[in-house]
Amino acid sequence: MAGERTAAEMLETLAAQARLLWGEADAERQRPALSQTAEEIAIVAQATVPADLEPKFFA
Amino acid sequence: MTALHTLGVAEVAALVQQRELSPVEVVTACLTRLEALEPTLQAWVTVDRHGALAAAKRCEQAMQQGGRSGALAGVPVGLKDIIYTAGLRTAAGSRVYANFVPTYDATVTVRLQQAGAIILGKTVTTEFATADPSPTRNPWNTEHTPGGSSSGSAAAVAARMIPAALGSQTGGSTLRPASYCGIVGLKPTYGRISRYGVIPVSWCLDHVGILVRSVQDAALVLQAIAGHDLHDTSSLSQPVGNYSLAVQQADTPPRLGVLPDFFRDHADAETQQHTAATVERLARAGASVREVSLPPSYATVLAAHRILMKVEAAAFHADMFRTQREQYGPRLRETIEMGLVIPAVDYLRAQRLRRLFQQEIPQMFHDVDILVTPSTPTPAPRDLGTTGDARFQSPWTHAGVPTITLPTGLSQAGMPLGLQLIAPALEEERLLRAARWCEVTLNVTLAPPL
Repeated sequence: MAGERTAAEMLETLAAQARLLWGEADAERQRPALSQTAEEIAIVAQATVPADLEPKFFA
Repeated sequence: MTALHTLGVAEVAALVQQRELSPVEVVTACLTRLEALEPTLQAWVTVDRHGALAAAKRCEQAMQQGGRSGALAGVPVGLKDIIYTAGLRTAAGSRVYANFVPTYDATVTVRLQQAGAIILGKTVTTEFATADPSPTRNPWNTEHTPGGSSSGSAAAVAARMIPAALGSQTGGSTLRPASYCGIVGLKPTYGRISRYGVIPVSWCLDHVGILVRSVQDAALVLQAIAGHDLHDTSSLSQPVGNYSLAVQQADTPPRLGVLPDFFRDHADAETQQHTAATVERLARAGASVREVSLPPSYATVLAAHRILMKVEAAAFHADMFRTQREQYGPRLRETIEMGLVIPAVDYLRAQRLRRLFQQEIPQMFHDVDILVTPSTPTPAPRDLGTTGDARFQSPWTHAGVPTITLPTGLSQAGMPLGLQLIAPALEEERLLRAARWCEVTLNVTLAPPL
């Protein structure tokens, strides 16, 4: 579940995906950005969202 | 006599309408000013001298023959170089689009031309309107960033090269450079101005913005370009307001809501003190002022905003990025790389949280008409390696509500400071009325020492 993921766990998920896409060296270069992105995802993942709230893309 | 290049939108439009000013003369004056300052400021990518003079002559001839002139007849404008101009290169500050020439005009280009505006050319944008800095310099001090991503539009209007320019805002790309350069920047409600023919950063966050030197000028330009567009799936169908009338009815002091906490804590001491003094002046002139709390979902706004921007930028660039990755600047490249690894469920969770924030915003306006914050946490940084900090604009762009920045004074170092006003969705008339009242009350017009 989204709410159970920590930034550290998210970072490992993102880093694994980055290694698949770009290779080991690039994924390592991206580590600071991946870490920041993992923090952002963790903030979003830990927030409570009403179950019946749908996304709204445009106005 | 007033130098023609210093005239604002309303002044040029009125004088041209009254046959007291030739469109050719004002365009020539702006081109002369532009050419004198461009080597220092680097605000333009393409100057369409021939096309602008030809359009000005056509405008003049049409008026001499008694033809109906538009609301912006003879007004020189610049377009951020992500806005399509048929037959005129639109390079988006990018090596990937370096030779791209659109075959059609953006809707805003068409509407400006229909209103009689004269397009002088394309202003500098950061690469694809994101965070890698552009070469443009701040007219107040060339060692400071002009902000971005609408760098050239802001610098050109502040330097009196043109009275108006269009920019865009996905985070803070209109209001931030406007504030850093000491001018007025307006971002209306999401969907109020068509995005058709504007190269996207993020479809759900992108807005076209207006950079001018007065609230009245912002209203005039908005009036000319706002409205539904069948070509833009996000375009609003609600009727366009009477923005020009709204600024003429700005005689009632607004009820202002100040936002403590985030917007105070993240501003530097000088900006905090300046904003407090500015709000105090407005209160002494009759505005009621009270503190307003941010809603619970605000805690996720900046994170959700960055997730949406990264994923949607990655989605737009994915195909080009696969084959031309080395052509991208470091910050945009990183944005795309991150967007490509963010899970879809997290993108959608960010979208749902955005909707929650949008639903909570009206409660902030229960007892106030307008929210006010410093436009930026600090004046323009003395650093050409950054476009500055978008944190004070991003939340409102994220929500899609209308915002405007007004110049309010200078810092100790002589750089502009501004006040950001925020209204509920679709309340551009309220926003402009309040902004005009503040503008008249504060009576601050800034002109850089050029």
